[in-house]
Amino acid sequence: MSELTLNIGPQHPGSGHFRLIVCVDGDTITKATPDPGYVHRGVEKQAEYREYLQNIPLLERPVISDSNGSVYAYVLAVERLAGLVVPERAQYIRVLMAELNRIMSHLYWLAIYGIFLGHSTMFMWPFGDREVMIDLAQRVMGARLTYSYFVPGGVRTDLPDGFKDEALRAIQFLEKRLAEYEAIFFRNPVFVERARGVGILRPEDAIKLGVVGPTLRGSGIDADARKDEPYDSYDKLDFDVPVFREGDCCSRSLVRLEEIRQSIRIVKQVLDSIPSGPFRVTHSSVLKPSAGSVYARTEAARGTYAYFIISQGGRTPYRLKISSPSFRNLPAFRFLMKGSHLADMPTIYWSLDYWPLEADR
Amino acid sequence: MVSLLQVFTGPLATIIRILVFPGVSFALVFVLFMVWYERKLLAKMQLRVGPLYAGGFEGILQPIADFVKLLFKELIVPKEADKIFFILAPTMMMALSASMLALIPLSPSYMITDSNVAILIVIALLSLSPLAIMVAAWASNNKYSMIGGLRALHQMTSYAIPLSLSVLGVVIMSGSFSLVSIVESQKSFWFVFLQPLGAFVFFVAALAELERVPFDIPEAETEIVMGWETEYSGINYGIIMTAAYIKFYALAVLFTELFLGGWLGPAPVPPPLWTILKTLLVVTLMMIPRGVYPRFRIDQMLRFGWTRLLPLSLINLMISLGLVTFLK
Amino acid sequence: MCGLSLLEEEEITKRIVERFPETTLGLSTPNRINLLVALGYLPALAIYLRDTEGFDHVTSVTGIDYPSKNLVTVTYHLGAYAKSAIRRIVLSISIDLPRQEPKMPSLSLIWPSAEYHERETHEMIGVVFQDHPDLSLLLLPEDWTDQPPLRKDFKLRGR
Repeated sequence: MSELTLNIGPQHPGSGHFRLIVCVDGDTITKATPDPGYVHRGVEKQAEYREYLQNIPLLERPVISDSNGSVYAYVLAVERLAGLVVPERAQYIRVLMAELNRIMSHLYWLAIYGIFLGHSTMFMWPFGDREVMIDLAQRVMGARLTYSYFVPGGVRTDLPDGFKDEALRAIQFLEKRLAEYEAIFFRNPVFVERARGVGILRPEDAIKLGVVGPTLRGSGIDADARKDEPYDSYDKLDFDVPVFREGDCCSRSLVRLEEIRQSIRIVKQVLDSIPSGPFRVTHSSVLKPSAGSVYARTEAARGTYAYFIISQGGRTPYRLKISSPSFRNLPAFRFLMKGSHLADMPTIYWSLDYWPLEADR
Repeated sequence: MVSLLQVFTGPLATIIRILVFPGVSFALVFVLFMVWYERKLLAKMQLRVGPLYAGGFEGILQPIADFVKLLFKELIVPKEADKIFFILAPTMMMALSASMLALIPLSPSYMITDSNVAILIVIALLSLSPLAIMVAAWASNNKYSMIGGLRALHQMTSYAIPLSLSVLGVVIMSGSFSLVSIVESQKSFWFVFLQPLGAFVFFVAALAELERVPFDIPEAETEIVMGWETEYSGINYGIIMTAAYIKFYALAVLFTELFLGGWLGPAPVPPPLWTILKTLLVVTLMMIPRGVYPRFRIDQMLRFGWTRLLPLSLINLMISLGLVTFLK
Repeated sequence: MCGLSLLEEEEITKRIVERFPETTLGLSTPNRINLLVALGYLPALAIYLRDTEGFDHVTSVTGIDYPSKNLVTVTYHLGAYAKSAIRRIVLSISIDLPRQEPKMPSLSLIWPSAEYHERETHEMIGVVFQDHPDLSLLLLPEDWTDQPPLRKDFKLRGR
């Protein structure tokens, strides 16, 4: 059959809000061009019109599955610009919430991977278990997904009474479920068939393309902003950065599974050693950081999230640049899908954990 | 007073057999039950509840509700599609599935017809289904349907061969192509114990013929929307779904009669009920992989069919030849 | 991180200024090196940073519009993956371009990771990157005819 051009377009059950133009020759993909921009909302431009505090609900919306991870870097950047010193209890609470969000985001990723591979149980179980985490978050922050909880100077409210026991119960439940996931999903022979050796990204190419997050760590490079440039209390906590060397979809998936386990480890340590004290530095309600520029980065669930803020001393930022992990993983689409089977397209796509809203902003 | 058997052997016998039992009505009722059963089974495996409200008891009337909904939907025929074949293709599929059923007896007294080449005809009808699918895919005039139709064609053709060879092993053991004789010759031992390889090959090949997980690549919705069923909506889609489930039912009954001794079983339970119970067991086994495995890629599946299943069925053929020689 | 490691930033900065004396240094903070460079020696500096210093990928490209100074500034943020000692350092190079016709050589030939970032900066601020493989619109709709949206002249309606 001659070459076909398929629009795995925005209106497609397997694409998210994102268009992928795929040229197929028989069963082999000859060219795959990503076409982002379907959900571009001009967040960077809108941020220039809002005060620093008002930007927090704006900036957490692009990545609602991991909203704390995206706002964390912004809050750190504003604190560095304004010279705010965050109390220790707030630092620990922020780490705790960020790690819970990482677990939620990875469970969501696993569930959607089930849809892409045609495994309905892999969709149902993680979504069900994610509800346990979301209930926990709702106890503390009041919302299921979009929290507006991190503010420059600390967090908005303190942890409620009895939170530690609830959190420990939830974590123990999740650990048991993770063992089942590993047995049924990750060691499933059909899953290994589909994901082993598919979409191999060698370390040199990973560096050249500038990819981030589990995509990078699945190719053998152990870069993680929590270890390279520790922020808040990460330098006081004991955790590993999982790295797998093969660079295929299977390693990227296993990186995420191990990251959930490491997040559980961090959460347990935080719950044990969280100090008491104030949870927020009080300051005037309108933040006017001094003029200057700052570049702050954190490790969100999908990769390194970075903000470059230029302030000219006013109430609103002069320029706010968001460097999101999904946008930085875009070159991997073109590179990895070329020469693969058509049925590998969803496998590779979702192993990169591309979130269209986050890439388009 | 007319006894039950007299109804089935008297003057209106053929019509009652075709329309009521084991024909159209029974098949449709069983298919509706199977749809509900599958959804409930899958739900329990996935820690959910499944249908709950329709019909009072655990959503037993849910499939009927879905069917009625499909009846009310608009019949969309794409502008550029080949209208005649687009509407005819589901009917072709239904005709194939239904004619398969006509040749598969539920028990010697409750069957529509038997012939001394029954199993050959059933296999032949089964092998015609890729044709109906290609007609549906081509008539849709849609790239995704084309890809799905070609995948279905490759898949069904490749797996029809191991299927036929495993059936051949059973034919050799029993010495006849007629389904009644095949079941009768299992009086001493069910063939699943004498031909485990053959049973396994038939099971896997049947899953592939039915496009069930893990072989549901022709309708892999994340790449090609619904494959060759993309353009079908409303009652057209309902007919395709019903035809698929009737084929499922037919192949499950075939498996029971070829390998599990069909209607043979101890006395208090009537023979057709034995067939139905064993068929339910087979149906459950065929539904479980849906909750356990993701789907295969097309080339992996074809490779599996040609390099693993085909040699296994040939080995099974040799084993049955050997058994027949030594047992005679 | 302890004060001892500030030494690496100082050493790198010293080496760069030795090689390319026209470089101006921006404000320095822990883990950050900020350089202001001119167009003339930009490709040579880029190749030096990639091959000798080990900054092997671009993390973001920002275009900033300064209508009061009649300038457009393009800032590249670079990171290092292979050399784990300098992973904590983010090096930024800023280039000032005239606001009416901002043009500069594309660095995507040196750092392939910059390709999509430069494309986005082109459509948002209007900077033309010479020798870029494909400068078509990335995030904006295909029928966009207005001026680049992140320019300060482009006002959001209702604000």
